Amino acid sequence: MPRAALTDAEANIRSAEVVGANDDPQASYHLELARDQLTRAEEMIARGRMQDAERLLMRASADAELAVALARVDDAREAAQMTEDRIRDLREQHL
Amino acid sequence: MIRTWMTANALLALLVGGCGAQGISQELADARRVMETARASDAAELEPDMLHVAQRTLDRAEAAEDGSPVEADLAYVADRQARLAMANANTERAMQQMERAQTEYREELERVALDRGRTVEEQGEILEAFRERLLAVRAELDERGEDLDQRTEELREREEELASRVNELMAERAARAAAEERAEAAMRELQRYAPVRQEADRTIVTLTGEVLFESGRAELRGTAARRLDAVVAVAESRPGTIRIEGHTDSRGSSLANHRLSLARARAVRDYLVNRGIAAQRIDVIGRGEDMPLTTNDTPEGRANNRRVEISFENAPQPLQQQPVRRQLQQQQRRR
Repeated sequence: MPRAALTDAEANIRSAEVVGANDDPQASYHLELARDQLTRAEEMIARGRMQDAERLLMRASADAELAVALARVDDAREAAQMTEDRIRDLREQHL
Repeated sequence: MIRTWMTANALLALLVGGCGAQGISQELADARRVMETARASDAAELEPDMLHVAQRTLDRAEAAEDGSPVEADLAYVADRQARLAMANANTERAMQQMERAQTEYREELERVALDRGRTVEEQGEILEAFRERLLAVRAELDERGEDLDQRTEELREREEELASRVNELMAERAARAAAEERAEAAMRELQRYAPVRQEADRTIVTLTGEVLFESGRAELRGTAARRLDAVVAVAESRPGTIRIEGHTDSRGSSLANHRLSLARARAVRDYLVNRGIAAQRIDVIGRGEDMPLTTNDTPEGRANNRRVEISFENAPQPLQQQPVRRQLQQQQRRR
């Protein structure tokens, strides 16, 4: 029973959901992959195919981690853009 | 919270099995392409460690049997690790950009605050200059106001003078009109007692000798007073010189007639002077028998010749008001 791998995959998927991976196209794609792989892994576990389950869980964790990272890129770029917008607004008000 | 993923070695330990010799898996092909992209990206600078891990995982995938599940899984993971490295590098780059933007924003805030301070100072200088100019303009207006007040006062005084002069002129006109009326009235009164004739520059009143004097004498009769009072009224009412001419008829000597005529003229003059007429206005002339009005051959004629003529200088009319014929007569007399 790949309990640790299952726990890690589930935790990573939840993390991706928390940081808003669903709101970013690329992030949501990998989050969906992760969810799908998790589901398939649970099926493998139910069928006793533990190695297949662990492989799927490994992929699920990788996709979930990538989803988190991609969501953070979007947030960081949005924060940088907001700051630049504030600069532009400040200059326009001061003209 | 992110759980750390398992290392490639741990993965390799879990993965069992192999496949027959096949072409490489799609996952490996994809992983190679992604790794190439990652090495050319910011990940090489900003996430070298993570990129190194992805490369190691890819190496193991390369080492696995072509087309095997191990290869596919390792390649899949390597693919995701390379993408993760690029994502983290992008995040780092965005964070750096945001930090620069924040620094620029703080600097812009400081500059704006400084400019506003300077602007307020400049506006203060402009306002001060404007206030000084306003004070100068106000002082100038005050000065002009004083000048204006002075001029207004001068104009007011001038108006009062003009009004006073107008009043004087009107009074003079009224007085002149009244004097003319008195003169006309006096003349009308005199015309009751004696004929009056007009000449170019004089008005001549002829008083009969018998009315004024006893025959051959130069003392005024009592009855002369009323007539001579009328003459006095006319003399008072009009300015100018008065000429009194005594005339006799032709009886007696010429010398005696001249003396008598002159004595009679002086008697009339003395009466006028005694009544307040200025002596220097009056000329007296004794004509004797030299200027008869009519024949001396008849009693009536001699009576008419025995007379005193009192002539009053006419007031000069403005040239433009005189008839053209009178203007020409005046010009001929002057030649």
